Amino acid sequence: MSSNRRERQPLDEQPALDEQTSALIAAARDSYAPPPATPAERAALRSAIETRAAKRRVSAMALASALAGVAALVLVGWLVLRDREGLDSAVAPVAASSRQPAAAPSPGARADTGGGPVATDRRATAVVEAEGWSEAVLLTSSDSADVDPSEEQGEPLPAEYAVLSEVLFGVDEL
Amino acid sequence: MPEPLSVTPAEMTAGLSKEGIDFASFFDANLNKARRLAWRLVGGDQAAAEDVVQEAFLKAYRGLGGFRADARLDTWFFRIVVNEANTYHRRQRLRRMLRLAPADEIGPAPRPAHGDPVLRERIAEAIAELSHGQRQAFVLVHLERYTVREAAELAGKSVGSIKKHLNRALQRLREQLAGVRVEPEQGRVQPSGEKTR
Repeated sequence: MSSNRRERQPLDEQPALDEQTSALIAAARDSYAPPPATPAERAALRSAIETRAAKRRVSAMALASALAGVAALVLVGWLVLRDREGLDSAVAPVAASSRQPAAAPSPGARADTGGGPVATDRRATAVVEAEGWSEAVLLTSSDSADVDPSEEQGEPLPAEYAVLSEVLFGVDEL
Repeated sequence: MPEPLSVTPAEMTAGLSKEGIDFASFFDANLNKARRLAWRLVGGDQAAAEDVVQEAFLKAYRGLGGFRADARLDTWFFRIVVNEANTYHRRQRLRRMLRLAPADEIGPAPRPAHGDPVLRERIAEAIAELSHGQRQAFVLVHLERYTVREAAELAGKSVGSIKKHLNRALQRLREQLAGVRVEPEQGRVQPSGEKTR
């Protein structure tokens, strides 16, 4: 019974070692170690530590600079986007009204609209002449028997189309 | 007491003080022990040991502001050394897992023998067979002569964990070095059996 009982050791104590193990450890303590640093090695190590510290300092500064640059880019981008959105919202009603005549019979005519009343008038006239349309075709409503612009557009003409056309193209006769 | 200084890296080891501690004196006093401890913990790899020591001194210098006076400065520093050795082992394990370096390139670098070359080689081979935890416990307690409690504090482990690793390390070393007889008085190795060279 006593053979099964282990002597409790204090928590901090090491287990007892036999003589051979103790001798082996003592020998290892002496032999399993690097030689002491020579003065040259000490100086080299000191220099290496200083170099490492300098590199870390430069790396930290570079990282800080990069982060500041990214932050500045984000800020500028945000300001530009905000400015553009504000401009878009300011010109949106005008742009919408100027795009409305683009519902003309052909996409070409639509692309040529804009640039002010005089320019618009000239372009529209040129398109009408090139396509051989009459102004009535261009400006008429969907009850025209010969040419129905709404068929080419594939969408119904808005009710205020004639009024807008009159205003934009300066045509007062349908 | 000197005022805390903000010094350049070159000034760091050149005699200036930080947080009231003369870092140059501290460097000189602890360099050899730090080199030896790191060398033993990384398994005799000289380049790795120097890397560990450099990083430990750098971190110690940077961390002097956070050093608490209730702990001994050297204990605090050697805990950094042990942590850096742990970091080295983690990186090596990761490299092995990712197969970034063949296993045979990770082992100890050749180094001029110090002490009994035969015993040194046999012990190095035996210690290389230990796990990292076993090696750490064996080095701290038996080679560096820390108590189990101090070793636990340095390694950041419990006393029970250190003792468990220590027992297993001794058991494996006895098996590995079964054929080696050492004369206690002379510390000389007498190889015998199959491992005799």
